[in-house]
Amino acid sequence: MRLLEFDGKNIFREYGIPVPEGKFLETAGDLEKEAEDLSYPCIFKAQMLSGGRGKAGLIQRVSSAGEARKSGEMIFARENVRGILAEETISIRRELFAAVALDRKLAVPVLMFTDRGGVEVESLPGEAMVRVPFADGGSWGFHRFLDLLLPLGLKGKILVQTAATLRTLGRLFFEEDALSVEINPLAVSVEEKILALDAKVTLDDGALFRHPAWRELKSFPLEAGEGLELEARKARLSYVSIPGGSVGVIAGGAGLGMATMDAVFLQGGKPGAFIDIGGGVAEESMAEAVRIARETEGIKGLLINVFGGINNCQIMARGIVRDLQRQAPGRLPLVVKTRGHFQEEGWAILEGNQVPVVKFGTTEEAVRLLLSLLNEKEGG
Amino acid sequence: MAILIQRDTRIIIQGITGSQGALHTALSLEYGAKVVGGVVPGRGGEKVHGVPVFDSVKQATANERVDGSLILVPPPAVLDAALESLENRIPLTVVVAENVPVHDTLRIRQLARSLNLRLVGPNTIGIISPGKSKMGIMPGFLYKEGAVGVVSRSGTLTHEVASNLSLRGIGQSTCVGIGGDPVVGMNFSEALDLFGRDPETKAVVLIGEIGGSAEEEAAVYAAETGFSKPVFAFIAGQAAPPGKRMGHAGAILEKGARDAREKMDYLASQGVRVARKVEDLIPLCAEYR
Repeated sequence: MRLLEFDGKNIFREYGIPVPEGKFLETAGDLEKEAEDLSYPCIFKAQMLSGGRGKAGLIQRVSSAGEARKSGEMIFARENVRGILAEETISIRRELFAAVALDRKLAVPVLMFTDRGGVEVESLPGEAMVRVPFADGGSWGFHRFLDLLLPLGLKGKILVQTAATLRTLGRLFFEEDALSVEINPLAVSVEEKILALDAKVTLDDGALFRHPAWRELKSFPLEAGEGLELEARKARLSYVSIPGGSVGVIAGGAGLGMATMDAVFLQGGKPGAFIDIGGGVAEESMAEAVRIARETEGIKGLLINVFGGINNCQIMARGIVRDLQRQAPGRLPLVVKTRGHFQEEGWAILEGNQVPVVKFGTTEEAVRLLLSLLNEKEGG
Repeated sequence: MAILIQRDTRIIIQGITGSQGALHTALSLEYGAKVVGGVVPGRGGEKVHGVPVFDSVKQATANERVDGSLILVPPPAVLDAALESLENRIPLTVVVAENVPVHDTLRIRQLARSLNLRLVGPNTIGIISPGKSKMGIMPGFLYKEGAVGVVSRSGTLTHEVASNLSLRGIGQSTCVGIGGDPVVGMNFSEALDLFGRDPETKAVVLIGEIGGSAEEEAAVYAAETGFSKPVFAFIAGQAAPPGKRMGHAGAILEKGARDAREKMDYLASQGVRVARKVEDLIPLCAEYR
């Protein structure tokens, strides 16, 4: 789950990482109510998950209630804006960068730091970024952070405050089950204070069970999505829609799903929906998967490619048929390839409902069959 | 021979009384796997399909040699179960669950490495040495004994490839699901190394997908070590849109990472023979029938 800056900064504040004073304005109505009471000048920062806000003009300095209204109108008109964070202005002397993230290749967390923070950090040469393995970072003594910063020439209060911020950021990374935490810029103000001016935090959805407070975050419902995405999530299905596609792919397993999409693509079809039903799927979830795939915009036919491994062919077949019965009369062309545990029972159910079944054939053959059914339909 | 598990590998199942645990105990026994015990705290003394249940791994290993533990508990319970298996020095631990917190996996992985014990998963179907034994949730009858080693990040794609091969008379020595998470225990290179030393394995199929660079690292490893057996690979996700998580936590085409095509091309440049579609693995493996 990626967090809005506002949620990220609240977590920073809880842990004691200094952030600017700010007020969250969720709607245009909130802004209208608060416009006269904000202290100006202040910075309006659009709250959204996509980056590049500065370049898109979604971070603005406003000096009066009038400017605030104008700026607010412009920001709220943009898509995917979830509110405005109105923050005190900070006079910046220097911009640093600090992050802890999982390095997939090394399979350990790494601590990253540079004294050349700011918008161009991604184009810095590799040697300008300090990167150290941080697997045991949660138990590092203070000196480890100091020794990391000293070669960069940091001194006095700034040295100590930066080291303390890194230590806290590390603690937050481990305690909050984060996949990555990033502060860019970590500003040094003209008053010689360290402040996190931005917060990019990604939390591990798998750890939700031990962080009930995450449900209260403004970012939480964003992760769940809306419409079919939300419905898929509720049914515990992994769903991706692909605009412009016409073939819905339902697979048990991510790799098989992707390989099935690839087979559709390689034979000239256009995948338009991807659903991974995951393991231990119930009849109702299977029926939901079929419904969500066929209700995806542009979908003209479905390919279901599932194994009875951790799933059960019979239960999945019942789920498919359950949705077919809801679809009557004009049902969408559909091909099911299934084998594994309880395959005979599954095949019998599907064939009893006139569903074309691929039993021993390959995925490629199943795709070819579906595409020919679609062509037939188009031709007729 | 095969790798990792043999006919006489003695297995315990942590979480044996759960619905998945009990089901897969029955299926494992039916397949011929030597399931010598189960572990569920508080359920010691019971039996599941005739297999004795113990309260702890330590108890289960008191009178039995145990070669491997198959962990079939839900994600929140994985950390404790895996630490228990590892601290009792079980040589091979297989974690099946999906959605295990990454920080838990990091801890488990670190302990496994420091104790020099094998960890497979999480988010895997497990391991099968067809005709001999299995430690996992795969339908055994889709797999056939033979000479092709299979190592994969994707569970059901392993079923697909193995059954495509089996139905055409091409058997497998061992199939290892290394797991679909961004961080897993055993990686492709380690599996390749084991297959390289296994006399029964004549060729290896590597099944990868978008996200990360584990496949590329394995290809480099094979090239640099002069891996002596042919490696065939398939990479899923050519049609996957960038930036979207495709089911597996690890299957996301990240900014700056190679996409499926680029991965395939890179593997080919390292001497791996790449199947553009999954069915192309069949003719590639045909001579190892």
